[in-house]
Amino acid sequence: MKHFLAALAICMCSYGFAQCESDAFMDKCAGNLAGALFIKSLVIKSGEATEAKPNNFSYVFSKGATYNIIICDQGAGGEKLIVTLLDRNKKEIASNYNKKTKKFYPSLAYPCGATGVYYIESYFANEKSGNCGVAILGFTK
Amino acid sequence: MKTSIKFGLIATIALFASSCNSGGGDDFDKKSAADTATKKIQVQISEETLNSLLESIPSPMEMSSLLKESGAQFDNTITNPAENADKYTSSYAKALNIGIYSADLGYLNMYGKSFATLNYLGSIKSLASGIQIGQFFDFEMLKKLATNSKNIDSIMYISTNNFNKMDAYLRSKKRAELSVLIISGAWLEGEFISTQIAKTAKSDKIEERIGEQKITLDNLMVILDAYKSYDYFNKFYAEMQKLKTIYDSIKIEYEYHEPETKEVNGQLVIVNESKSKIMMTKEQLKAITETTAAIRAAFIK
Repeated sequence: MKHFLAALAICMCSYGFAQCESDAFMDKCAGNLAGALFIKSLVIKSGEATEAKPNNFSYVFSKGATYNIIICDQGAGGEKLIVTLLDRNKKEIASNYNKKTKKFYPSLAYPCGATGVYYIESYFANEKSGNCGVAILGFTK
Repeated sequence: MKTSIKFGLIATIALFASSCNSGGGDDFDKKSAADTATKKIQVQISEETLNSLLESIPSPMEMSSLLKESGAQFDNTITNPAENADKYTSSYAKALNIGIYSADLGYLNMYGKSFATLNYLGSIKSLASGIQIGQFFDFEMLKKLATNSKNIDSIMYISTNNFNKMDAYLRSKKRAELSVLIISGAWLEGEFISTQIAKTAKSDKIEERIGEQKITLDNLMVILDAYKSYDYFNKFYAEMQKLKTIYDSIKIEYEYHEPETKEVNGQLVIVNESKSKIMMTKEQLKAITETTAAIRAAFIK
């Protein structure tokens, strides 16, 4: 019986993740791009990405474009996704979470002045939540 | 009672398991199994590095957006004719030209040529079906949207999303070499379109963006290098190496400033004065234009 419950728990969790990767959730999140053109979506699952080992994604940003990162977390318990933008030397540019004020922002806008490879790191504040979220990258001229 | 709970649990688990496996990959596995077994070659790059490099390649949409923004006129003679799709018979040629057509599609969409996109959508669908990834391309939906130029934003979102799904699927099925070709084709066509437009547009912004491709090409060459044991890649790599040699002589200067942030209407806006500057001569630009055109001509025929 224990095994069945464990298997059920795993599948319930996977089902939650599948929901997160669903087109409907992605489309809803992309709707927040507000005029920016969609580039990519990045699904982040708690447990797979931690503060010590966050989910990593790199992309070549071009000078003259403004890049928008839209953050959608699906946490029923209000768990939040933390997304950090780093420059080509992996030096932090900004995060959607302000550690001093403990405030989360749902999006970041970066008017790029220096072309190069940028890095986007992400993880859930609550690593054990069984949660998932999406970070969507878009751009405007 | 215990038995009925067990049956309920088994049914529930089976239901979830089947939903987890959705995606229609079985056909792909069966049809490509023989091909994979005979042609799979050990690739000298880790999956993590490969994924990271592939994801870093910019969307060709960005280049098209810059062309439109700079006021450059639309040129209907520079895209790869949709009818050429019939010429591509090998999986590799199909994959490379899916990428080329995807960049053409982005260019047409950016200029609001929604009706003209129909032929390109058909070609992409046909080539994608040829390598068993047609299920990720929502042709009917895109065709419906293409009948009204007001739907351009939706078309661009859906087609970009479809291409991302194809890419993710191919990589999950260990057919990353096809993903590499799709992404390479899209980059090559974006480079071709922008260099052709630059000849008449005389825009500093377009020329600078062409010079900036040095960064992307460096990443792309690392990937192509890892696959050059495949015959098709070996030829493509050798041609692309000619382009890289030109780019190697172009310099990029950086000026760093500490970033700041401010809140604007609930959004976190980054203020960063860091700058980059491309040092590219007219001769280098000319060489890039000619070499790109020659490579592209060899792979679309």
